Amino acid sequence: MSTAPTGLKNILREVLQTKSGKIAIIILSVILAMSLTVWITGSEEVVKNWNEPEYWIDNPRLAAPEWVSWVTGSNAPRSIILKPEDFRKTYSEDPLTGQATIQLRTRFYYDYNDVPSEIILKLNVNATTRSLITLSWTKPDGSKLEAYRKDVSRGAYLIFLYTDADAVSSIKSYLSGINASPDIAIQTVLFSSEASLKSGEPKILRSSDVNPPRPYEVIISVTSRKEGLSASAQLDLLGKVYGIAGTDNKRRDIFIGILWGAPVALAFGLTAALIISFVQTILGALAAFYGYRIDEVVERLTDVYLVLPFLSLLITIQFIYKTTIWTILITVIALSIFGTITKSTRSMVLQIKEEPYIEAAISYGASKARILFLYILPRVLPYTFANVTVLVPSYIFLEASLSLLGVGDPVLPTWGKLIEEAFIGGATFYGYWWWILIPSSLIILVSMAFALLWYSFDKILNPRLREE
Amino acid sequence: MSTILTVENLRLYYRTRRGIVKAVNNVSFQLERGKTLAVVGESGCGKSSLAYALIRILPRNVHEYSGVIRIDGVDVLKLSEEEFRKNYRMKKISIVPQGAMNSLNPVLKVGDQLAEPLLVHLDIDKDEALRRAAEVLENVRLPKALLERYPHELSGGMKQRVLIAMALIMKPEIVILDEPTSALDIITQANIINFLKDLQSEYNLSYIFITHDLGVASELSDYFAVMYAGKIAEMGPAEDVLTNPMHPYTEKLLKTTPRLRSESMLEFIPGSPPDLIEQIPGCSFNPRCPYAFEKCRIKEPHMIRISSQHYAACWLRGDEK
Amino acid sequence: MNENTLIVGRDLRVWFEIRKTLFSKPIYVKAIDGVTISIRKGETVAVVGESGCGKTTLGKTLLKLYKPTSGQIIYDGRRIDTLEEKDLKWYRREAQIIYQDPYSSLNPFFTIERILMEPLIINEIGNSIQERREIVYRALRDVKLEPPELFANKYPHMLSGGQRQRVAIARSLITNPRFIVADEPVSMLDASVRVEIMYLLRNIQEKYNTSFLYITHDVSTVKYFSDTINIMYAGKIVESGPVRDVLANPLHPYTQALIEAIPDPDPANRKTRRSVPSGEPPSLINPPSGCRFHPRCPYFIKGKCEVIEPELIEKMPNHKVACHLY
Repeated sequence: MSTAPTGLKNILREVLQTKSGKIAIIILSVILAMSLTVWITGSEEVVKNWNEPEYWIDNPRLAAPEWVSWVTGSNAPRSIILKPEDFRKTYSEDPLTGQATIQLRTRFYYDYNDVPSEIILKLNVNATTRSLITLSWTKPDGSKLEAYRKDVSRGAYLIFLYTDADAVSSIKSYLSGINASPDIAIQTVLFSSEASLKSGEPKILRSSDVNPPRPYEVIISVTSRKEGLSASAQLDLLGKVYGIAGTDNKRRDIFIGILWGAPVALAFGLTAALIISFVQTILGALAAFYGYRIDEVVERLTDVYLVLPFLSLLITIQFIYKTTIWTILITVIALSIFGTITKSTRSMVLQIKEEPYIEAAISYGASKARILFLYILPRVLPYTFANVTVLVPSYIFLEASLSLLGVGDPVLPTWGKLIEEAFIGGATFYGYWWWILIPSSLIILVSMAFALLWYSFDKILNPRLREE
Repeated sequence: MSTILTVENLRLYYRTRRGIVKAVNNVSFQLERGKTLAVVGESGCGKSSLAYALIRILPRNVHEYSGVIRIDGVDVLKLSEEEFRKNYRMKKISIVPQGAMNSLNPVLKVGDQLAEPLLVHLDIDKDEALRRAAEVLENVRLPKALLERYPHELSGGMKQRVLIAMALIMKPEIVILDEPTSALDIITQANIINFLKDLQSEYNLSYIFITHDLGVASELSDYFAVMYAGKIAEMGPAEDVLTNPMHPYTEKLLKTTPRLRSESMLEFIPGSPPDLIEQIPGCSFNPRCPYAFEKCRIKEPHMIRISSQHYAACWLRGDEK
Repeated sequence: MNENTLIVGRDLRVWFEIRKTLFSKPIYVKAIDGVTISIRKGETVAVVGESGCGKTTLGKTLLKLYKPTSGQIIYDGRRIDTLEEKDLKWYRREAQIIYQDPYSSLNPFFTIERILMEPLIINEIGNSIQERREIVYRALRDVKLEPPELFANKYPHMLSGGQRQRVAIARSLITNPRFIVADEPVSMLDASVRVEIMYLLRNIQEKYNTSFLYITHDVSTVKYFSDTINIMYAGKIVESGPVRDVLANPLHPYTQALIEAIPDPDPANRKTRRSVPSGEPPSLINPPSGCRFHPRCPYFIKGKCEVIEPELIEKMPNHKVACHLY
C-alpha cells in the first residue's frame, strides 16, 4: 500500500525524478539567479536609474537584440563608442595669431552591412573666447569631407550629427561638390563610397571592401586663443542592434529591465501565493474542524468573496490611489483571504476528521487544537503547497495585467511595465517586436515552469496517478 | 457428471514498481457441472486475482497471462478479447465481484443497471431488456418494484441479491462469487447462502466460491482448493480436505478457525503470508511450517495424489504425482 | 452496585439528531435506546450483534466519545455522564479504545514511536524523552513487537495488518488504563492472525487485570475472550449472561438465530439449509413497536409482542432475557 511521501526532502527528491520537475527546477533556478544578482548588486540604484535618461544615453534607441543579426545573417551594426581615451590629441600653436589648435584624431574599422542608427558627438571645450570646431571625415576609399563646422563658446556639447543644422549644411555642400543628390541621409553619406554616392545608388563602404582594409578616420579640430584651451570628445556611432534583449524608445537596455523585473515578479507572485494559500488553508481547516458557527461564518464569507469582482475592484482601487507595488500586494491579499482553497481544504479536513485515528486522539486526551495543528494540518499541507505552485503564475500575471492597464506601480521596472511601455511606444504598430515579446515570453516561461512543477507535484501526491 | 471448466497451469503476473507480482502461479483445477468449488485462502494469497484471471478482467500492468482455461471444451484463453467478451463473459461465465455493496452505480436505477449488459450484448430494445430484468429479479426473490429504485434505498442483503441477479441475467453456467457475504450480517449471510443453494439446484449452476471464511465455504462447496502465495496447496472433496487435511497449511488454517460447537483450542500460525513479489525458494509455506524439513527449503513440491480426487502439494505426502 | 464493579451504564439512551433540511423537524436515530450494562474489574464483557445494532455506539458512549441523551454512566463510583470534556482529562488515561481498522486507526504520518508517545505527552506521563521512550519500548514488548527499537522508527504503512493492530493495542495500553473498549479488534485481520491477537488480548488482561468491553459480530470468537456476553438488537440488549450459559442455552429467539446462522467448517453443511429468520435488522429511526424483533420472530405472539416491550428479566442465575416467552 503506497502513501504519499512525507517530508519536504522526499517530495523534492521525487519531483526531480520527473521530467517536468527537472525542467521546472532549471527554469526557476535561472530566474532565481537573476533575482539574486540584482539583490546583491544593489537594488536602490534600479528604480532611480530606470527613469533617468542620462544613464542610457550611450545606447541606441529601439535597437533589436544582437543575436538577431546572427540569426538573420544580416550583420547589422553594433554600437561603436569612441571614448575620449580613444582619441589622439595633438596640439599646435600659431605664434603669429596667438591661436592654438587641438586636434583630436581617432580611427575605427567598420565592417557592418548597414549604417549606424545615430551618430552623436559629445564635445567638451574649454577656452577663453569662442572656438572654431571642425570635424573632418575620411573614408576607407580615401575620400574626405568636412562633416561639421561651427563657432562655439566654451561648454559641453551634445551634437546629433545626423540632424544638426551645421552638420546638415556641411554635408549638403559636400554632396553638391561631388554632384550627388542632396537628399541622402547623413549616416548614409558618411558611410557610403564616394563613387556610389555620385552614381545615385549609395552603397555602404566597409573597411574590408578596400584591399588592404583601411579604417575610417575622424579628426576633430578645435581652434581658439591658446590661453586655457582644452578639449575632449566622445564619438558614439550607435548601432542598430544592442545587447541580449534590445533597447526601448528611451534607450534603456531591455535585458536590464528584465533582470530588474525578475525579483519583483517572483517576490510578488510568491508572497501573494504563499500568504493567500496558507491563510485560506487554515481558515478552511478551522471551519471544518470546529464546525457549527465558525463553519457557517467561514462558508458564507467565502461565498461573498468568491462573488467579488476581484480584478475590477483592484483596478478601481489602483486607479484612485495609485499605490506602489507593496500596497498592491496587501490589497490583493486582503481581497483574497477567503477563496476556493478554503473550500477545498474544508472538504479535505471534513473527511480526515472522520478517520478513526482522529477519534482515537480524543480518546487519549488530545486537545482539539493539538489534533488540528499536529495531526490534520500536516496532512493537508502538501496540497496547499501544490496550490501555491499553481497560484504563483496567476499573481505574476495579475501584476503584469495591472501594469499593462497602466495602474501598476508607477516607478518600478516590472515585466508588465515593460510591456505597457512597449504598447504606448507603438511597438505593435512599428514592429519593435522584441520590446513586447521578450518580457511576455519571460512571463510565460515562469508560468510554465510553475505549471510543470505543479504537474510533477500532482503526479506524486495524487495516488491514482502513481503507477504502481 | 461432466466437467464444465478445466484450468491448467494458469498464470497471472503483474508488473509493479517493486517487481513482478506472481498473483496466480501455475494453478490447475477442474469444476464439474452443478457443483461448487471453494477457493479459500487468506488475504493476499491470490484468490481474487484468480477470479479475475478466469473472467479475463485484467489490469493494465499485466506481465504474463498464460495457461489453459477450457470452458465446455473450448480454450478461451486463446480467444481474442472481442470474442471472449461477446460469447463468454457474462454469457457462459460471470462474476459477482467483491465489495458488492459499492458495485452499484448510485445514480442509476436498479432496473437500468440490470438491463445494461443485455443492451450491450444482445440486439434487443430497452423494453425487452427491462422485462428480462424483472424476470431475473423474480428469480432472486426480489419484488419487481425494485427496478425503479436507486441503490441507496436498498438494504445490504438486497443489494447483494441484485448483484447476483446481474451476474445471472445472461443465464451463464459458471458463476464466480468473490467474497459474496463478507460485508453482510450473519443472519443475512445465512439467508443469502440458502438462496444460493436454491439457485444452484434450480438452474444447475456451477459455482466458484472465493472466500477466506472456511465455515461459510463449507456451506456451499463440494470441493475445496486451498490457496497459498499464488499456488494451490491442497485440493479435494470437502469431506477430505476439511476432516482430513493433508497439507500443513490447511491443517493450521482449520485450527485457527473459531468453532462455536466444539471445544478445541485455537492455534495460530506464526509469521504472516508472504507478499507475492518475493519468491521463497522451495515450498512457499516452509518458513511457517512446523513440519518443514530439508527438501522443503530446496525444491518446490508439485501436487501429490492422496486419493482419487484429493491432492496436496507437500513433500510429506510422498513423491508420486 | 458493589465495589467490584468498574463501570456501569444505566438506562442509556443515545439518540442522534438528523435534519433533512434546515427547517424541518428533527428526526432521531435511536442508536441505543435504554441499555444497562455493567463491567467488573478485570472482567471482559462481550457485546454481540449485527451491524447497526448499536454496539459500537455503546462502547464509544461509555468512553464519553458520544454524549448520552439520557441515562447515567458511573465509573469507579463517580458519575461521568454529566461531565464536560474539560473535566474528563483524568478519564482519558483510564479508559482507552482499540479500533477495528488497523489501517486507518494509526496516523500514517507519524512513526510508531510518535504514535505511542502522543498519549504520554498529552497526559504528562514520564518526565523526559528517555523515560517516555522506555515506556514505549515496554509497550511494544508487551505486544510482542520485538526488538522495539526496530519497530519504533517505522511508519504504519511498513507494517502488516496484524502488526498494526498490535501497535493499536500497545497504544491503548500505554497510559495504564483500567478499561479498554475493543471494537471488533480482529475482524479485519486474516484468519491466521486473528487468534494470535485474541490470545494477546487475553494475556494482557491477565497481566494487568484490565476490564474489556469486547464488541463483535462474530459470536464464535466470544468464548475465547469473554466472561459475559450481551446480545444487542436494534439498540437494546435482548439477552445477557455468562458466555458458556448463553451459548449452550440461548433463550432469546434472536440469539438462537445468531447461533444457528454461524457455520463451522463442516462438509455436511452443504446438504442442509439453515433455518434463520428472513429480513434484516430494522431502521433505528422508527423501530418496530413493542418487541423490536417481532417482525422476524418465529415465535411471534400476536397481540402481545408487537404491543408491549419485554423487560430484561433474570431467568436463570445471572442469565437475563427480554422476551415474552418467559
